[in-house]
Amino acid sequence: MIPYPAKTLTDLAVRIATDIAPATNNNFAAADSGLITGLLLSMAQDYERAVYNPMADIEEIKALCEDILALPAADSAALQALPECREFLDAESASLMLSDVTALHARGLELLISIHSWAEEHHADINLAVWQLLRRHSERNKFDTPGP
Amino acid sequence: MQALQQTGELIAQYMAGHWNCDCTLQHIEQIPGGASRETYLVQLLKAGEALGVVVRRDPPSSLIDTERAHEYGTYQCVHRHGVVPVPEPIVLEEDPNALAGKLKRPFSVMALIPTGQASPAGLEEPDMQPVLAKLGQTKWSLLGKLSRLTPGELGVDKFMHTPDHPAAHELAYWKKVIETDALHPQPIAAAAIRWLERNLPPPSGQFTLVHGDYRTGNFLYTDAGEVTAVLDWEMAHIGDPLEDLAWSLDPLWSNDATLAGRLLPRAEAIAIWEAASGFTVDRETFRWWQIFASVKAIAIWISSAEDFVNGTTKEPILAFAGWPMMDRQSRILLDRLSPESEHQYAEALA
Repeated sequence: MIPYPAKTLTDLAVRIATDIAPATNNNFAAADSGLITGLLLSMAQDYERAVYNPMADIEEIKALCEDILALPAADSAALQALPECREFLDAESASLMLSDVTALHARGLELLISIHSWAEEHHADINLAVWQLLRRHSERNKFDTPGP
Repeated sequence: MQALQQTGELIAQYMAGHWNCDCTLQHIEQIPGGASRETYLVQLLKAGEALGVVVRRDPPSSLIDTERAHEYGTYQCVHRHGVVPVPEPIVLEEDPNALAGKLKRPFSVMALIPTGQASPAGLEEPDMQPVLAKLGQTKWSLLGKLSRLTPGELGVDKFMHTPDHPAAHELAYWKKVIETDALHPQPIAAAAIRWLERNLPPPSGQFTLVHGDYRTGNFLYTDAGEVTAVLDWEMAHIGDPLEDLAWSLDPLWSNDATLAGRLLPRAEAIAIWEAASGFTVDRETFRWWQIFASVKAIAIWISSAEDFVNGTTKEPILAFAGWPMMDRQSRILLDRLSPESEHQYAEALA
């Protein structure tokens, strides 16, 4: 195993872009090479952060749940997902295998959607907190990849 | 390469039957970027005369699920009217068993437009810079002229549904695509859909043929700044003219945040469209269509990712759409909707 997957994938992408793509005299193959180069570069970025990013989201959603559970009961009464907030605080990924982390991440994002939908109508501060969370989530997952 | 040559020879054989004359293959190449159909540029010798055609064949799966007859009929109507330059449609073959099933899937054949390129990246070339403004003027003038026509004037109302409420109809359709195809929860898209539902504009009463994917990359241009053809009508439908205008201005289509479709500042593009269409853009309603455009795009990227993962076609464009393009589109939506947005991708209301 090469312990530097991001660098390795990037080197492979560069190899396709600089050596293989220019050698083809077929426009379709050249375009495919460009897209595959872009995908390898994306994969290189995601490989490095594949576990960190969803775990960061999960921790942020847990923190949001703590804030909601600390609200006066009347403030959160309309939140149907309140029991899920309590349960999610104790939720852990079955392992650090990406499939297990992704499953917990999906559960967290579903909960986040429910919280956001409630907060838009009932709690301006939590609504803003969700937007801020989404901003950080988006920045963490940002790709630095050229377009097709 | 052998399979490609064989496909070309079968196409020549089919066209010989269609035209009832000698027809032989001179050259065939597959054109990149055809996410919804396999697209081939074919040079034929028809009764001794050189003739170029473009063949679009259904792929096993595609980025956009569309009806080929619907697309072909749209080309026929627009070509007949002449308001926008499009390739002349020659034949639609819907029978997968045509030519004893050798071409495998339905296809259409259109005349080749001999001049122009579609590449968005080509617009960044230094020799294109002097003509970008002219190209932008043409691009949004053509759209404005199209918007001015009723579906009846074009004849598309004979085979297209006219929705009572175009905005509600389109939103329901693309929301369903997201719900059906998403491989992972999408909190940004979900927030945008809720916003669109809460802020649904009333029907404008203006019905037109909406291209559905009117953007840089879907028209052929020359280095003299002319548009020689508008392509890819597979998502065409009857709807509100602001839908196409908003889609054409989505920040995804430009690396430069100040330019719409790599051509003009957004405000200039809107002014050109208003002058050509005779409509005035209501800013609040247009904001709705701009946010809708990003949601529709996300739906397409989600659908393409689902196709790549679960479908039989492993076209890299499907994976690319569902990965880096999805990320960028989500950030565009955040930019539009977040209360603390710094509006990095587009002005607050444009």
